Amino acid sequence: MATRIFSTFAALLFVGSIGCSLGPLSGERGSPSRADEVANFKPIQPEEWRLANGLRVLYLKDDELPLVRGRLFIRGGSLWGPATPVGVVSAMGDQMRQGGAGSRSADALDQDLEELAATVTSSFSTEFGGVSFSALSSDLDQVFPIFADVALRPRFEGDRLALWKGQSLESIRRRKEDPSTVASIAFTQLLYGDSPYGRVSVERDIGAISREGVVSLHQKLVKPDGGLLVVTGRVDRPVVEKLVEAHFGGWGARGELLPPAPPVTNQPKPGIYFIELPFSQAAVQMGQLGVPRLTPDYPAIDMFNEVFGTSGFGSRLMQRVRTELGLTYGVYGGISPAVVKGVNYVFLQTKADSVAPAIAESIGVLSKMQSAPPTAVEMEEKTTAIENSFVLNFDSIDDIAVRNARLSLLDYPADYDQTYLTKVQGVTPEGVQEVAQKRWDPSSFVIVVVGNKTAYERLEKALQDKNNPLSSFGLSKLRFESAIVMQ
Amino acid sequence: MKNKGPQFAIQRCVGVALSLVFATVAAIVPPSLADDSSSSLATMVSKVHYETLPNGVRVILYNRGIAPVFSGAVVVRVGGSDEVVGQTGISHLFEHMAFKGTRTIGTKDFGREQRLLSRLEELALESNAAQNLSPEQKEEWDEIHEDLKEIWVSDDFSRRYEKQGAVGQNATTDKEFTKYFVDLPRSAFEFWCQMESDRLIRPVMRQFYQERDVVLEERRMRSDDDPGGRLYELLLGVAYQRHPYRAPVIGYEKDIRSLTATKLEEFRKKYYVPSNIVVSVVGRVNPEEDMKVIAKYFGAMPKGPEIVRDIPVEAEPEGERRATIKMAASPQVIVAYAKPNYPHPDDPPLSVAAEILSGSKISPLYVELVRRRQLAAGIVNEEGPGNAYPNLLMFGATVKAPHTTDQLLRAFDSVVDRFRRTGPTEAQLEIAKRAIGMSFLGHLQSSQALALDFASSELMYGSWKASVEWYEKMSQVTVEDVKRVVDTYLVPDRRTIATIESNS
Repeated sequence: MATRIFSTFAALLFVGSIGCSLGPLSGERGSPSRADEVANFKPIQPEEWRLANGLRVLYLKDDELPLVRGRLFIRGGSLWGPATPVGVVSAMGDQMRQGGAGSRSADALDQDLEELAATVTSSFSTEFGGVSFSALSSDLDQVFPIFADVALRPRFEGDRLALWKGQSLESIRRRKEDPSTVASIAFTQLLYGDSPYGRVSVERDIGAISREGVVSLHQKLVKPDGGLLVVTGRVDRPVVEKLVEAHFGGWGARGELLPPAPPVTNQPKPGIYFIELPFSQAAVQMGQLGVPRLTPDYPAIDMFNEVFGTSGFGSRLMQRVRTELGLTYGVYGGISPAVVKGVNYVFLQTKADSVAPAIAESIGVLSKMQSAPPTAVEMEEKTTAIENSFVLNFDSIDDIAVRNARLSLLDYPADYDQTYLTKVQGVTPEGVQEVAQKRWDPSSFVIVVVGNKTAYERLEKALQDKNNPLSSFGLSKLRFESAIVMQ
Repeated sequence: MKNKGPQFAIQRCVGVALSLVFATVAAIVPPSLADDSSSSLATMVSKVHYETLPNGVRVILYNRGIAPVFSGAVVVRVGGSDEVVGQTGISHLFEHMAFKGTRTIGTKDFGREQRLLSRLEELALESNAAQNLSPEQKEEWDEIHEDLKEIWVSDDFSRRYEKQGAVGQNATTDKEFTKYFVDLPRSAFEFWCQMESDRLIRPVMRQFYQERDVVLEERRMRSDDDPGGRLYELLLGVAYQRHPYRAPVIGYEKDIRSLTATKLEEFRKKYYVPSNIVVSVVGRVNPEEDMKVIAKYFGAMPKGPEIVRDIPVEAEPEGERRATIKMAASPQVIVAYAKPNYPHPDDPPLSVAAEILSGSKISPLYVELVRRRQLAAGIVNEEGPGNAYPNLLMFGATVKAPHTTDQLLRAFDSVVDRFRRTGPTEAQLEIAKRAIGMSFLGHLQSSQALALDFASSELMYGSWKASVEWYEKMSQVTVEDVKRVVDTYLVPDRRTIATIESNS
């Protein structure tokens, strides 16, 4: 409660959360100026090797605490899964850990991990999946085999799958109790349509998920090809090498990478889509289909995002819609790339009365980005901000290892980190304006509004005003039940 | 299920500290490793630098990390528990205003701005906190704002931070504390001292009436439109009859609307005084040279009057209380037992009891309610809403359709009753203590969390090591201790049950 943007508490308390630190501190010799310390800093690089089946291993020693962490990243997800039932890939990801593994029943697995005070988790989403563990160094010999069992030999016990299905149905029932959840589901579906990018599971999907389907999906998706295993903590390299070889060396490869992700073919129909639910605030999600990762103009896109709407209070959206007008607690917007086509978005929540001005003002901020380049002051502020904050990516050994793994999984060039700042420094104000003009077209926006009757009436009235930037949009009502029903 | 549910936003602050590394390890691992840790512990403790400035500001510095960066925290011992009805939400609104800048940040012409702001404030005071502006007043109000817009530099304070490389610049307000924190590169250390001390000493209440609207939006989001938020507000209002824990930290809507810049200024003078503030830095620090910088900026804060807290005491509960809210939402339940707060010796055993009962996938409440009978989709426990006064051990559960809150509560009671009769096994006790230990270890890895915990321990208990002490006491909890506290506190007469019933 009572946080300015969002509470970091939940993240901090998560037992298996990322982030540890403290290698041996170099002895104090003299005292370099604070600025020199930052300028001269060179992050350490993880050690790396590769198994015969293609699995790459990244390792960094971290002596601060008597802990070891491991994360297995797997290429594959619902983009390569069956079209139906929707949700089977996340069921598989969850049940790898929950449904027992290797010689252990689900109950025995829970009991043994609790006794070891260790954590093992698993999950799968659209493009990637993963299994992770956290354990005391002294228990690594016992926990590592369990970790490998969860990845490679899950049992998928039927009663645990039934439990998952029941919990999923309950969360589907509760979807409509949160305006942002409703808006987000509708927005995604309207942009991506009936495709693996846009589908959201509904009751009948959950009902149709079977153990057989989950088992065969595991056999298909969980392969070492292109995958990465990251190990950090108080453990020596020879120990890690031996454990990894013993438990993942025999993991059979597919022998080829997955085919490219399917294309995005949906052509969203612009308009304002209203879902009436009795909330005091209206949730707004609007935007259009966007770009793949690492388009040639990605440094200019990053600068655009900073100026426009991803940098919190320093962004134009926040300054205008929150600080100056007091219309919202939070407003965020930017270009979010994805594997094929990402999303260009603006999200906000506001009271029913002010839904029309809040949308119009946000689009107004975007129009200004299109009609003129950012000022020299803004360019300098944002470039300097990116340069200065860069070192914060490398404060913990675990962060460094995971960052390396992520960049690699997303197929970023090997010199991405080394060249990034130079590229950002080369972005011109005109380059940012070009991003705004080339990448955004408010007239093609899908605008989803979830709100009460007053919000609808206010919008309807605003659309009748020819001077309102929204007046060219059509307004239609949607129904939201277990999922959105498109008309 | 060690993650806390979203309905309980404020976490216990007794937390992490250094010796827990030692204590955890001693309890769990072979002697060789424990020796390892105790020596690294000794090294760590020796690195904590503690100092009080002449004006009373306390400073904690701790050197760690592999990159030239630091987490900086300024914590003020003020929050919801210091508020009275009529002014609830004032600590939180002030926290928002602390991002609006100072006499030199956020303005192009402070002299002129000050004159305009005083006139604005006169209008506000004449019109019931600007809620009932007459048409003439409204016209003047808007004209003044037109002038102010020319003078204000919106979000100047935050933008300066961002330019220096700030990440995670934020603040939170809870029942006891207002915490300002940010991660920065080492090159920005002096800048940080300058910015933080400036907003403590010379903040300007600009854009106040816009920010009041922002907080009203925040309230709609967190309380009005969030079933969990509404349930929690209801629970506290019933579990506490006199103590200010009963009011939401964000404030009642009516109170928020009645706040003025003048009231915030009075509030600041009372609570934002050196003796009520701790400055805490974890990361790349060099105490010898950094203390000079800290003294230069935070030492400039003038001493203030001593804070006198005259807070109504909550009577011991004398029977079960129940409250229900009917709304268009799925059923939820919170069962909250009144308990003493740390340093009462019964506090650590109650944390262990909660962990045994519902903290893991092998805990009886989870196994019975979630897995076996599937009456609940999930269950969480938490202690709160604060730690400075007698508080609550809360169990929260979402009811799984088609079951009812009554069915869930009956099953809950039968598990707790059985636990009361049998007590925990030695194995259950050890597993729970280890789980709490690992959770602390995870917590310890965040420099920001460590900086905040040092500061809040210092302010609440007069020692940054208070959490160490808590942890050591927790490690020594016995089966008998757990039995005793369960018998004493987990009884119907001490509890409040709040539920959401679906009205559809």
